[in-house]
Amino acid sequence: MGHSNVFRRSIYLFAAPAFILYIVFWVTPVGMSFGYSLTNWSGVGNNPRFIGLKNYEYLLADGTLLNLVKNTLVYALFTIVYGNIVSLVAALALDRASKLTGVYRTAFYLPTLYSSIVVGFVWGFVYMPNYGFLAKILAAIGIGDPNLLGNSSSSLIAVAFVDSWKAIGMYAMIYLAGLKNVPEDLIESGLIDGCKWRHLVFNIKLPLIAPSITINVVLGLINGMKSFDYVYLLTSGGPGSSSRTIMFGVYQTAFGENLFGKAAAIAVVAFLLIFTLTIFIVHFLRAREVEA
Amino acid sequence: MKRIVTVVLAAVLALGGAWAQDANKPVTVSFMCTARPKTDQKDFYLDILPQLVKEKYPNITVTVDTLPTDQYKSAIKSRLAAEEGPDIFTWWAFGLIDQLAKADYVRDLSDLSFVKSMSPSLLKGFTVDGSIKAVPRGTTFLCVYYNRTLFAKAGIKALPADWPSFLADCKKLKDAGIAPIVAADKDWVHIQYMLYAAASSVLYRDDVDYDAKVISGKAKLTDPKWIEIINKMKTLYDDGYIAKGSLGIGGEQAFQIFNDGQAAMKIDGTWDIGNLTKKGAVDFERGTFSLPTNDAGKSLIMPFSIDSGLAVNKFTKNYDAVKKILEYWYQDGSPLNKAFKASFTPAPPVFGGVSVLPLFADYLGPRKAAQTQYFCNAYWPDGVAQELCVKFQEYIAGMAKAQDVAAAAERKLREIQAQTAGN
Repeated sequence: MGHSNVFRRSIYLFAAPAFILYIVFWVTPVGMSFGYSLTNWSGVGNNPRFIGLKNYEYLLADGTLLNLVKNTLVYALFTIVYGNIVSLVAALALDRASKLTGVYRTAFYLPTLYSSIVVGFVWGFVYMPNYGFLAKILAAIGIGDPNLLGNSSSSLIAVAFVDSWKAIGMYAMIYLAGLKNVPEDLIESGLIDGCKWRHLVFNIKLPLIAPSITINVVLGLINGMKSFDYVYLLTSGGPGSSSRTIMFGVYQTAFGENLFGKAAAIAVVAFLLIFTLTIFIVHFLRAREVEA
Repeated sequence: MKRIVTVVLAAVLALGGAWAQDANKPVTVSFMCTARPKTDQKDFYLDILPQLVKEKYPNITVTVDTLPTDQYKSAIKSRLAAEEGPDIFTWWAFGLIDQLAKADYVRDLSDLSFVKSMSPSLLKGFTVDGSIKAVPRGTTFLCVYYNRTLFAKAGIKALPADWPSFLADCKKLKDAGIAPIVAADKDWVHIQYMLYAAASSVLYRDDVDYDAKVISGKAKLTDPKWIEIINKMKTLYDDGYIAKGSLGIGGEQAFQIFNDGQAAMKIDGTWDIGNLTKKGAVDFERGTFSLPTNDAGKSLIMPFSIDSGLAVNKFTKNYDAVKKILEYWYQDGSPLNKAFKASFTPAPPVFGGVSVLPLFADYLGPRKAAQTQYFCNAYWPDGVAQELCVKFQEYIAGMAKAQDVAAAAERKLREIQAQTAGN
């Protein structure tokens, strides 16, 4: 049974406004970024000069691009792995009915509601060497101050930890929603067959919440690849460039060095990287989803 | 005849009325600056400026916006690129005003009556191709803020006049169990204060035109002088004179440490006087002096520069109102001028003197006889300072050498110059 021409025309007509907005505010700026990446536009004046692939050459020559991509991938990997493991454990715990379930769920979700500025500012004082909360706690138990943000080997992970801490509540809620959709009769069948708790989790619940895992992993990947807030607030990409991520690199190059063309080149690389990784991961995870 | 005269008189009155209405037409003038607003008293820019302008010119309303420095620069440039932006805004001298002038974003203010009586050394920083592109607000300098109580406790009776005596005083403080210097090395902006303060007595000891040579390529940021500056500052870390864990300490935290009396010194500028004189855990008297990186027997050269000035947007539609405000602002003895002088520290010397604040006595006293020089980054394009300071962070962490720091800054300077050539 086909649709009438009137129906088909109506579809296009109704979709047109959203499509136009999408083209104007998303596709066009992305295309312009590709264009600007081939120029030396400084953001001042309106006469950028075409310089070909020079911006990409500069990025590769001084190791900037490699450092940014490496840091961003490490950041994303940490937030995905740590964030999903902790939020999954939390969701499994919160899935059990108890008198204080509402309180625990609220406590887990609260950090998600705070603004990044507030979270970054507070954690800056938590991490503060010698005088911060963490330093005082470690000193009280006889451990020296690790100066996490001031150490190039730990600054990136310390920043990623803050990002994960804030996002765990959101991931946990998504897992919780997935767990609520696991059919009770499957759980009962498992229990009747003598399954222990770990069998229920690994053989029944986890496979059936695979779509939630896909969502959270993809969200974690995209958020990790777009990481900027906490890098800016906590370390400004330092010490040195040890915690600089791609988006921070775009910001720094555009607004710190007035090299908008070069910043656009970094953004183009980021776009291609996020696009490729997202497609790969979604394809990989979708293939493993099962239905009840 | 009577009728003709009546008609003519009526026409003149009507035109006069219309002109009077135009002159009194409500106008809103937007003003933007990077000032850190005072919260414990009336702030000059947020409160006093709009109020006094309103009292003088009831039809003119001044709206004021402030932003932190790095967001301020990008906000102003973005708006100017769209031919918008505030009518009046503060902007920095030398290289930065050059950039806006070349893009034709700022008006020529040479026609303002008071600029003729301004000190040429102040106007120099805002003059581009013979046109005055902003009016200076005054001067600023880099200095060492110090805790007089802790200095007395360590037995330091006289302020250091050269590098060996500065190191000796740091040792006295350290031996007395006092952290000599707090450094906010997590924020690269604070690292540059230290490096520029250190640079004056080294870079210009035998060449006052060194900065112009760097920009033209005749001198480089990898010259032995720069290696000397970087190594001298590193000495402070190696000898334990900078509070531990400085790479994890940000600007706000460093201010708190100094104000709480937990470190004897902080190298900073006059723009942070508010942050470094806040009440902390202990009360103490503060002073300032110029960081002496000159060798024994050599002259101290003090980093004394021009503070940001007031620029006028080329695209403003309210230039008449803007001109009235600026003339009122700089009219000697006017209420706005008096309020401005009272709020600005140190007081702009163009108005006949420098600050009498006791805080600056130890700095401004020697200044009378000493050679002064603008900050070394005056003509650097944006990006060079950050690269220098970020690489210096790696040097502090032991991941780079002094030569790497200098090379990174030199590479960035030449890259930006190559990219922006011909724009």
